[in-house]
Amino acid sequence: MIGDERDELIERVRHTLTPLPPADPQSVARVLSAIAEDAAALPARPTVWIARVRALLSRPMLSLSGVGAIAVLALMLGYGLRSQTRAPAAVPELAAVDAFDALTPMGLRVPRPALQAMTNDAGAVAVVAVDFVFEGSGERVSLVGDFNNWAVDSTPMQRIDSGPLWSVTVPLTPGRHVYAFVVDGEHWQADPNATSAPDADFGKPGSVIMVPPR
Amino acid sequence: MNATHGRGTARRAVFIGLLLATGAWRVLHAQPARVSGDLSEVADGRTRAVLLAVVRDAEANGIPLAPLYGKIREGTAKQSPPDRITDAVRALATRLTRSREALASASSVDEIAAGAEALQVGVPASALRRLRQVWPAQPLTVPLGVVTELVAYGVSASHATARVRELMESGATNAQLVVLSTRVQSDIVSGTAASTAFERRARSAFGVLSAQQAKTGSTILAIPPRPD
Amino acid sequence: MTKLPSDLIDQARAGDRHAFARLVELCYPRALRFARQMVGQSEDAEEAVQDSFVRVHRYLDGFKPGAAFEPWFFRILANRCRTMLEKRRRHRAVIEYGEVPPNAAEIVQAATDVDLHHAVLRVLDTLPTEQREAFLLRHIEDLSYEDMMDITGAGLSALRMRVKRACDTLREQLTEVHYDR
Repeated sequence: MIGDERDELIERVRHTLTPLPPADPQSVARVLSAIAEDAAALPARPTVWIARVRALLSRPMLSLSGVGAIAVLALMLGYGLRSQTRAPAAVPELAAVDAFDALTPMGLRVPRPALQAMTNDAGAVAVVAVDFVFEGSGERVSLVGDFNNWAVDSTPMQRIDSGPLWSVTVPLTPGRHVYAFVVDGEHWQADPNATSAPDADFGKPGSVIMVPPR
Repeated sequence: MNATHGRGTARRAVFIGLLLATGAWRVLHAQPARVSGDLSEVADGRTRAVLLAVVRDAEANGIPLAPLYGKIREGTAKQSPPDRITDAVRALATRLTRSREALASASSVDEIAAGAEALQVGVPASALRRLRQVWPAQPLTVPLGVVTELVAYGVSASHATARVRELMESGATNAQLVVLSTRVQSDIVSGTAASTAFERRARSAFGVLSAQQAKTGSTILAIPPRPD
Repeated sequence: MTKLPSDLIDQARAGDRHAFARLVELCYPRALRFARQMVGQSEDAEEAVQDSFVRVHRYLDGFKPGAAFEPWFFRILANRCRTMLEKRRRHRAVIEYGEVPPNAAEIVQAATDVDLHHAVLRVLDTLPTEQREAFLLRHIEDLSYEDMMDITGAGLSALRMRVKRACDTLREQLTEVHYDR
């Protein structure tokens, strides 16, 4: 026996190490958010172009003039590729769940089901898509909170029909989240229709949303 | 170097040049997005040094760093004075330590952070430990968030933690706890006193759980007396 | 690993975001278990797992249809764990463990005071990275040596030797501990 097989002690070691950790929904949601960020940040992968360039380079007797021509072509390709971006990965969507007896921020009951959930085999929700709505004036409005690391520019809101309403849909894990709206990059505003979040640390207005799992 | 090797080398150099030109280099070597782990947004050098020491200390003690960096980013985003950021981060590091100790080291980062938030509003560490006993393996992130929120509404910490714990022991799910919290909020907005609203909704929830248990033939719940 | 539905990978490759999200949910616990046992600290382990899934998503297009997903996934995850360990090593004082844990008596003593799980983790932590990785892949993740060769790039003999040495160390350090489990 080479000594790499299982004996009684190795079996006992296995017994202590094999239990799986619980699939924390928040951790899984963080993974999915990171994937969505990564997909949005990268330009479309130029696999087709690389294959073509490789095919060109594999030809024997590549001349200097040929290299120069390819370099010019590559610069043009690079410009074209850099201008392409992938569409941001949307939150995974399922068939809408039944309307949930909860008010979205702003006290609006959104006509279509406001909460779209993703479930695993056990029926536990991993992440929930939540609509945020803000009413007010400004050139740009963004959503900021513990779910996007308080990055003021990372979650811009979209104006609805050129009116005073702005909205954005964000995937959130079940639980308590603190957030605020930032108008024109500097004016912090709480959601007047949500519970206010006491900011003992920094004294800025903020709001709380409790996201339910399904 | 023979001629063949020379051509191969030139070919590779051209290929690398093309990769750079096409931007594919960035594609192949781009780093995945991750939680920010640097202090470059803190403009003040002295504050950066102090915060770095706090972070290193936390790291050495096995405290999750993501909430600390999140607090730093929150403070800078809110344009808070450096001293205030430092105080907030130090206080959070202390709470994270206590939360982790109360919840046990197998807890996830979000769970420990939720525990720290509960501690900040006055929930004692002993309450966190008792919640852990009720759900030893299931994440406590949602119940801790509900307790924190109830205390923020004006329910006493002891009342909130006791009732939430009892509901968990009676089989309440995360979803049911969140619904409870939302309805309490709605009642308070309508003018009901926080503790009254909470007690009423908690008793209603016990009733639902009792009915569910009766259906399954389980032990009928007796609604616990209201805690002090 | 949780048995993945046969068409889930294909659906994810085809761009079905729901399928990919399911894939993450099904694989996450096992990935986290391996990462925690490799890198030790919960936050680093979560980061390694997160990085791995981002890479899986990024390169899933190139994943051959019909190929085994598990070895490919663990190759990515094992690489991320090694990178994490290397990064940590560069930022901390290096403690040379060598082939034999330096404070064997301490570990045995600790094992009598805490449960077997903690004792095992302590011994694992003293193993050289390659041995720890090989042991976990073989005896916890239940992978074949063929898959392990694919994951690590090492040869069969080298892998068997790494597993053997890890087992030897565990036997040596834990034999004196008596448990009723």
